[in-house]
Amino acid sequence: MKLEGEFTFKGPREEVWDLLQDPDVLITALPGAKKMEKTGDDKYEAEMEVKVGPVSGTFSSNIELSDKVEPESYKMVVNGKGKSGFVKGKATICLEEKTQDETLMKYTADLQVGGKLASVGQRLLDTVGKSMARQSLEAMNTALEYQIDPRAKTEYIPPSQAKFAAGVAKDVAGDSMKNPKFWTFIILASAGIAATIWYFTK
Amino acid sequence: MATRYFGQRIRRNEDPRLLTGQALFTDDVNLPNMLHVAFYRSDYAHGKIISINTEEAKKRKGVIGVYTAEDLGDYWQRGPLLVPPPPIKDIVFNERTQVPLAKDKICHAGEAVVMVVAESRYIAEDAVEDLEVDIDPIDAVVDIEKALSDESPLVHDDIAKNMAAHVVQEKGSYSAIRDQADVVISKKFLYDRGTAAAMENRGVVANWDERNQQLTIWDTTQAPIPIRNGLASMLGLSQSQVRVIAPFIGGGFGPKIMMFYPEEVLIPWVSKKLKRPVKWIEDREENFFSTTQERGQVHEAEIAVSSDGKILGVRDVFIHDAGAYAPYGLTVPINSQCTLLGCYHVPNYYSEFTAVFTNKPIVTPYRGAGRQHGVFVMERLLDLAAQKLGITPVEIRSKNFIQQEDFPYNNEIIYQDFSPLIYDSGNYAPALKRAVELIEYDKFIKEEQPRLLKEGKRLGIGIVSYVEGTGIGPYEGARVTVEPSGKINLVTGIGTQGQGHFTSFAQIVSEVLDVPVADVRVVTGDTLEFGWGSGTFASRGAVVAGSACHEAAIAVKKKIKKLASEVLEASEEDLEVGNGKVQVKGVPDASISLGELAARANPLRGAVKPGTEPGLEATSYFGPSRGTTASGVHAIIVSVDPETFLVNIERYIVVHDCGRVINPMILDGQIQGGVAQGIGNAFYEQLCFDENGQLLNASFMDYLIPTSLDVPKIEGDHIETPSPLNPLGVKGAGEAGSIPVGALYAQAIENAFRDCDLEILEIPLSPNRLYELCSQAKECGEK
Repeated sequence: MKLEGEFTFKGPREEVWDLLQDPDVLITALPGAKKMEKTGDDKYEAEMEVKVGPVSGTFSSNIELSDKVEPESYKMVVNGKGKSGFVKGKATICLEEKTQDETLMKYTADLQVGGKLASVGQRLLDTVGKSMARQSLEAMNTALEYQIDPRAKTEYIPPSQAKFAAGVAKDVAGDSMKNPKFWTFIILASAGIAATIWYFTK
Repeated sequence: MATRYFGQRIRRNEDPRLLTGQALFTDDVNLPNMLHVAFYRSDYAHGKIISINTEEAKKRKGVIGVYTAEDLGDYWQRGPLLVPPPPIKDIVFNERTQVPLAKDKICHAGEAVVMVVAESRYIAEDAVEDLEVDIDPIDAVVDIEKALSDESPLVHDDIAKNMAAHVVQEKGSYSAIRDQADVVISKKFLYDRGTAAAMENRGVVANWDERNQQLTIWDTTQAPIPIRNGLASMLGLSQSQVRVIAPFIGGGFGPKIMMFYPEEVLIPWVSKKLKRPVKWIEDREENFFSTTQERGQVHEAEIAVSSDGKILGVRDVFIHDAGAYAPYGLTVPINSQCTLLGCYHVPNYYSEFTAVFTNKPIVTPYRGAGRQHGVFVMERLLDLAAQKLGITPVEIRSKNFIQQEDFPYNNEIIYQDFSPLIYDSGNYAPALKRAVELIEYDKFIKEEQPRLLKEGKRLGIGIVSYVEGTGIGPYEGARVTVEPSGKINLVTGIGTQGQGHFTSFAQIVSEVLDVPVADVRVVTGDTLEFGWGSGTFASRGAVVAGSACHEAAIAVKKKIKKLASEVLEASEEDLEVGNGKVQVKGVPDASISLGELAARANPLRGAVKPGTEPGLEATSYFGPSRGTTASGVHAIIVSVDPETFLVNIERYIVVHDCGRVINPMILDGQIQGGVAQGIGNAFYEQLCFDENGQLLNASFMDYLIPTSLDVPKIEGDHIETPSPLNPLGVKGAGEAGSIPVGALYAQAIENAFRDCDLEILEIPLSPNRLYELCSQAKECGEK
């Protein structure tokens, strides 16, 4: 699975850089993250709850940062394993100064996905992957804004699992509009996700 | 010859049991105190096992045992090589068979690594989640064309270039004739993987009875006797201590004759170890990985044709995907190599293949067993040559058929049964003519197609022919017994997976003994009842076991006459057997019922004469000298939706020749089912692997199989060209329906787009793929 994208943070590059290395922020911003610890220089250990369509489970991951050029770019090697499969791959993150107060992040990731996650979850994997990336970046941006100016209107409230699921459902539905062939299945999947949300929020 | 039972549309003896849910399937076996098994299977397609931690799993309440390869000790052995390489000159063959549990290395995703035994399947599955298995992944071998390169990773470290085998077979000299050809067509053809997707998954129940020292196994196998023999040897038991029952099975199609699946080795072992009954039933997701698959091949083929449309020669070089292990030897690629020659006189043939190991599930025969690849390549080459020569697909086939007077016809190469590929009998031209008539070929081309095109409908017609090598040896046996009730008991060693054996075999015996088919009780697939034979495969049940039933019935009839001649005091020649009794011809009063005669043959007092046997019972065996070749023609009219590229079948005709027909209704059913699987293979089903060997569509959500809405009712006719190789004159029909469907779809779809330069060189297709191919083809003249 290849992920590629851009995101504009509303903050100066150095602050974005720090934010991206702060496990305490990352854990709140990453959907489903249960635990994130710094285990060494540029080494992190994370535990995440992942749900892709009918497949869900806990993944424990090792993340290692390398080729750091502060505050411009770094590389990331991810090795995640869980009962329902594995995710393994590399990512490159570049930060560009757009203006003094805006930073453009460009990211590419090439991930190997295996096990049930790939064999049964394949159809939703791309959309869920992109959705997770988008939502965590948005959450981090909110955190950043709050960090820079705590008096700002938007207070950073880490997104809940239910909110995240709703976000995924929205993204999946958005994709299905472009891809009407699988609409029946997607409606079913969305219904499943909606049921999950209902379960979590009732 | 007038028959009462043989050749009649007789309703199936087994259906009342099957339709009312009374038939026994493996999962119906529930024994007191039974344990259940779940497997940990690798998520990785290729990797080294670093460590396995079973501590947590063992602690779980209800878990009885957790076993890794190490725990198996000496019982950990590679599976047997089922079919050794055939005696072909300069053959290269690197043997590598599967293991019960992966020890150091993982060779395909879904390979079993740990077995968990627990009080229930729920507990076993939960305990599988408790396991910690650390696997260090290695780059996977997926693309079969790259597998042979020096840069490719190795599936098995000691097998260079992943080469499982290399075989060249040659007839005449293609290279010498090529320059004389007026037309040479040279193309690359792809045929991708699918799975049999039998309705019933695999399953094994084993029960070791410590007091009786008996092991009973219920197994969804197509070969109960070889399973018994193998297990007895592996477990150090006598063959009579092991009873393997292959009860009703919801579809075999070939993958259920892979021996030995890891589960077939492990479940009996653990039952014996724990002295408790143990059950494992494969779930659908496991089936996508652990049951064998078929079909990945890439062919680079060439046909040389003269200006009058005669084939001068064919050259085919292909790569065959063996998967991670090759327990079945070369059966599949040899079938492809041999079946390519089809119904045609091909004077010069050069065929070379390389089988390669890949990090994908194991490949063994699945309905068609490599034959469809050969048929696809040949039929496509003929279509393309016909196009170039400006003749019709019907004409080029007619011109090249082997003529009736040329049989037996020697193809001068070696077949999968190690015998020379000699067609025993056949009559190809009438089948083609009949199919052309039935589908109204000329009318469609001249009237229907242009008329419908004006209405904006894209319709196409296809017609292809094929042969099917069937009914190979070694042998099968049958025992026929007349019971004191007057009913007949018929036992044979082969297993049944829905073919109608309970009726076809009964019909064969009924014909000889003249008793109603419903009065013949048939037992199949129970080694306690019959312990000699090999199994149900290669469309051989009717030919080999059927012939044995016939021979046994004739032997019993002799015994009946002999005893009756003593009882009725008449010479054997004056006796006739019929309507459940024996009577002196023309003297209705001088008769005795078969039941009474059977009772007399087994007296409670007196003596059985020296040199005779009690009872009216006989056992016979039949082993054909070589396989018999069935053939057929399929014709289709399809309509293609120009927006969605869905292909709808308007008509489907099969004219089939499998020698003498035992039961036309059962045969029609076999063909209908075969065509359904063929349609799936041609247009719906494809196993998609990513570059890491991960299967991306391992559920029926994503792996499409055709439904009843996609499969039409097959129309057709039978032509009977008896086989001289068996007493019944029958040929196999099990795989006929599925073999030519890919080639047929390709021709018909091309015909529907005859105004474009659409060329179909691959199977399976799908609406997506067809759309892509049409987009790549040059602009259509008329839309």
